[in-house]
Amino acid sequence: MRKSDNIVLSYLYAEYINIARSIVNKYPGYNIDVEELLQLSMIIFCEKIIEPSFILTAKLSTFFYPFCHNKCREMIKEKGKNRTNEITQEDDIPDEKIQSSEMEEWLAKYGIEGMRNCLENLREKRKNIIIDYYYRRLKMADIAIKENLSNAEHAKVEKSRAITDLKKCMGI
Amino acid sequence: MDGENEILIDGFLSGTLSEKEKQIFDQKMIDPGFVLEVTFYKQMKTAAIIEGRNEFKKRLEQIGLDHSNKKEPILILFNQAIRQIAYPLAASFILIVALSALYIYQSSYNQLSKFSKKGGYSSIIKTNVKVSSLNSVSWKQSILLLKQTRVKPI
Repeated sequence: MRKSDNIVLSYLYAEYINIARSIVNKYPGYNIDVEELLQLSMIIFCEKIIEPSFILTAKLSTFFYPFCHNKCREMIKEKGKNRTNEITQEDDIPDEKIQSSEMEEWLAKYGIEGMRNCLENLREKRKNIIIDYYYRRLKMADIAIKENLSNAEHAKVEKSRAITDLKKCMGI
Repeated sequence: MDGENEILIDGFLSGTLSEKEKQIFDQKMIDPGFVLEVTFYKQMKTAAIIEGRNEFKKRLEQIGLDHSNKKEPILILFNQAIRQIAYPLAASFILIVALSALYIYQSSYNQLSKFSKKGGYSSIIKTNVKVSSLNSVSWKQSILLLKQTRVKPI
């Protein structure tokens, strides 16, 4: 799961669709899409699992249930507010609380959309390295295997190049 | 930016800095250039999270499509059919049976009350038909006997 293997994800999808269905059945009249709920819950669930400090102390499905239930409630609330379920919100992304007027100016100038555009324009391999490192929290050795690089050092070099490309794109 | 700063910022963003590293990090935060670097890394991490989530969502959508395209076992289809058709049918059937039972009970009660208003069994006795004779013959014969003695139907 930590390496987000497709076979594992498919297995979990088939196993947990009934959990999502049973939760949706608890809230009739809200027209919550079961598959949408399952997918969004699985994203949060997998993000939790990849945390280094994570220790599983219960059955996986028992652990999954509250994630799915909370997501369902969130979706109901969002429906009430007529908001979309697009994952572009930064609400639940941890904020490291850096405060600086310079930073605010910089953010106002470029914003997150600028960074996203730059990231999308990176070479596929470099983009994957950034996502694997910062989102999937993979180690450099694992990234090297995934991206067919010779070793962890090579992956580090590619990561540095990706960051340099991003800085150029962002005008730093 | 040198490698040391990169490690410091990565450690700060992942929350894995030691106390000593935290102190060094705080000291460096006086430098506006370093603050800008930290902000850049933070933005990059946020963008990576958003992109990563979107990518993951697409993968899950594809898995969902594959999952729904697979032929569903007959048992699941049967269960779905039961949920969709059989339960409402069963509920309607129970409702019809309950209403019919109520109607039959109501009508038989009305007949009984009409019968008792007309005097009950005493009206039969008045027609000179011996009740004991009704016991000795069959039910059909009893009805004929009653008709012959012109007992008004209830």
